[in-house]
Amino acid sequence: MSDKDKDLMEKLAGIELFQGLKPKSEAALLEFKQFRVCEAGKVFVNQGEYTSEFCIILEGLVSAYRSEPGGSGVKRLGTLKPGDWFGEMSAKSNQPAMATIQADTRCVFMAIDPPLFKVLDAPKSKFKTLIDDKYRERALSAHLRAAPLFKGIKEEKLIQLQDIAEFVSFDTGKVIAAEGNEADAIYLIRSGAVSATCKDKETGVQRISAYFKDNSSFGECALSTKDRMWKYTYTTLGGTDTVKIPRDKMESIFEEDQETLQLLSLTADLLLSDDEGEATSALSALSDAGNAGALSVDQLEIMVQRKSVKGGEALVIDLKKCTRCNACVESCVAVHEDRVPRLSKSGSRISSDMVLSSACYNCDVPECMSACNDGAIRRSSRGQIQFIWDNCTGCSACTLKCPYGVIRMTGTDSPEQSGRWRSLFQEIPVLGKLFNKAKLADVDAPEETEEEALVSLRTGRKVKGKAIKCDLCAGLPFEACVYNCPCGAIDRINPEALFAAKAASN
Amino acid sequence: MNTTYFKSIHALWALLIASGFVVWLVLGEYSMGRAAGSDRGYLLWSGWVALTLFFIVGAYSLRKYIHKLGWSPEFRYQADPKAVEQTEDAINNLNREIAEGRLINRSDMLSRAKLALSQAGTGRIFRPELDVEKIGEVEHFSVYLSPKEPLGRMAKWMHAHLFLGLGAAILVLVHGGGQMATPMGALLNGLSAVVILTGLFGIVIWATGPAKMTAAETDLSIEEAFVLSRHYERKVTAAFAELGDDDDLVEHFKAAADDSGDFAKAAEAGLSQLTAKDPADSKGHVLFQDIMALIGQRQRVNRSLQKLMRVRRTLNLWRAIHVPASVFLLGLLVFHVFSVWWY
Ligand code: SF4
Ligand code: SF4
Ligand code: SF4
Repeated sequence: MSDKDKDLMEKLAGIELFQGLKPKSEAALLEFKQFRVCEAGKVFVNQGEYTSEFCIILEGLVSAYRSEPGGSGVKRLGTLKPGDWFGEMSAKSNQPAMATIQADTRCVFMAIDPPLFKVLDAPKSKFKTLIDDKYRERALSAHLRAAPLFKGIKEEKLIQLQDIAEFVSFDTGKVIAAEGNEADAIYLIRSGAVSATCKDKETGVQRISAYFKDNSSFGECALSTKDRMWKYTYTTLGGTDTVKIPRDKMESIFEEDQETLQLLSLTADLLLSDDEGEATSALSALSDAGNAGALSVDQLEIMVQRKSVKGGEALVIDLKKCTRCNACVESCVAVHEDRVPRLSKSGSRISSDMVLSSACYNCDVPECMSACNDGAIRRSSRGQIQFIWDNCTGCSACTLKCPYGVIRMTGTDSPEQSGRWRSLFQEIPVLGKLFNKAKLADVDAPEETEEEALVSLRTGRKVKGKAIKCDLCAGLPFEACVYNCPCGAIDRINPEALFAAKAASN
Repeated sequence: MNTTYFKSIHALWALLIASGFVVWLVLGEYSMGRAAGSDRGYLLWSGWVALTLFFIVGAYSLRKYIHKLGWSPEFRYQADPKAVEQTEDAINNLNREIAEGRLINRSDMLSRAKLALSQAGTGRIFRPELDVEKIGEVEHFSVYLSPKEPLGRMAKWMHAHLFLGLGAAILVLVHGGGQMATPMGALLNGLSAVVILTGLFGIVIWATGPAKMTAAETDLSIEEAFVLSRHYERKVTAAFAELGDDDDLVEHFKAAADDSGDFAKAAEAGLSQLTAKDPADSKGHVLFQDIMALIGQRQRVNRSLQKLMRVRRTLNLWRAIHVPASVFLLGLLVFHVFSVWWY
């Protein structure tokens, strides 16, 4: 360990978060930590901005502010001092910053990126316990308040609920609760997405009834005065963090306070009184957010199966307008040095005349990013998912995780812009075909560049390829595919908005 | 049907220009073309305007190709990603000031945003816009960046191409009078007719073709059929390579693999030849059946591809006439202008 590292470890030993780190976590911390400096008076991060770093204050003081929804102004949350931290939710689940952080004095932060955070935030570690406790202290009350079930209860009762909340994480495809079993808890989703399915009585097939995203909740039936059974099977659509509030614990803390318990049961009955039950509450929550309209079961099914619910904006092709001229793909090729398209016109049909093309959605819950352990995928402050060419080790983990299969591996070098003349000749009617065949065999195997050699050295793996995906034509004043479609057939649309528009027009 | 082609501001422009010249012709009581009674001023104006319209119409194709080749002037607008990030940070800070009530005037918000853009050097790619959200009685503002799209979307250019092209056609008629007496007149008017008629046909097929293509895509989309066809092509080629040097048998396979030939007959002939040669060759029979299955699948995919490609083939054919005829016409028009000037 170098002297600098020793000094740092001494400093960190005074911070509870880093006490009792396992040797593996300590080594990772020393290798991958970064430092940030922020001058007095400067804003380090703005509320709502996408950032993926977890920061620990090493020197200086910062103030945290939050503007409350509904326009009630900006609230000062307090001062953070050396040893305090912020950004845990951003590093954990790519959520936008919950507060604005402004330096009161010159500050030095230690920044931890998501892959390193994942190592430190290991199950049962002290680090994880402290992070969860802080979440309980800082955000849980707001999260509980957002759940329709708890809207009416008093502040002090909410604080009691905070104490019994458990933090449970699930991998993709895990069943949280199964239809027909006894409903024993309320779940709030911190990050990720969950589908609710139930068996069709006639066909016996599982049908999608609803889906739940960040800040929504399910499990009202656990408190119902009637049937306390799960009406649906709840399955995670990606890595999902939840807050579980067990019914028995809730009953025991409110044992003396039957009034609150009754209020909760009444609210639960009210929420469940609709025929659609919980599906309605999930969808109405989304409608409140301006996302969904009246979705039909089929549309919902497609969305959940295609996991569109986790997506941001998708490139949608209107097949009533598309002449299959390929100008969109060719434009994408034209704006990239490596002449590799980032989009394919084929994708899943969401209706008889609409296709979700295969190009990055810039997901709200980007699974590619959580799969990347080399810090090669990050979110820009505008929320776009960016791949960092130099950091990519070509491990393909992201390609396996992306639910839409829009990431492709390409060669490690950026070939010269060759073949332009060939593309020109290809355009000649009829004769153009003669110029169609690219001579792949002529391309020599690329040499390893200096950066790739460094990555190979660091990871012990040879960089065989790089992951690429739609970069929204980074730095250009247009999205080439949309901009150059002569028929106006392709556009970037939020799938939920699209479904809502279609539902409204039906 | 794609009806958006018929709703365009360019249609209005084209109508105004064309009807202007028709009215001028009628009011002036001139004759069309260089007949007796025609007016020199009218001829000159209608000629120049028609030529200008033709060049605008041609600019659409030019723009399409130069973009495809990566030579579009818009590519020089590309900003450094660092500058984009700097802009985003500045806009975030600005929004914070707005949220805190330190900036309340709309024009101040926009001018501050513009300043941030010019400082980061991204004013060429972004335009700041104000988003207003009304909560209760209170309006909440935030600034966001929208891309500038300097030359405008291609779909808009397409509308200009269509309608200004039609406008130009009317001008050609009033300018030349459709006279075919001289070789040049015949060539110009004949070519104009070809370009205009193919153009009209193009509008119909562009508007109705996509729906037809989509209706035909019952099992496979065109893209999927292409991919599958290439996949089977590779598999069949690899399987042929495995067959070794039994030329007779390869001939039968080739006959079966020919999409235009009778697959069942060739397959039967190949199988009976194989049986006659060595009835106990079970490995050969399995290989034969595998290859035949591959060929059969490839034929099925290719047939659906042929069906799916029907509209696209019509489009290609249409393009093979419309584009060269238009290029030739433009060249002739330039020649016509120079020759008129010269003489
Ligand atoms: S450019 Fe437009 S019309 Fe052409 S293939 Fe792409 S989406 Fe379809
Ligand atoms: S690459 Fe895939 S997972 Fe990642 S943001 Fe894009 S669509 Fe989502
Ligand atoms: S937005 Fe740009 S990078 Fe993305 S698919 Fe379209 S052209 Fe390609």
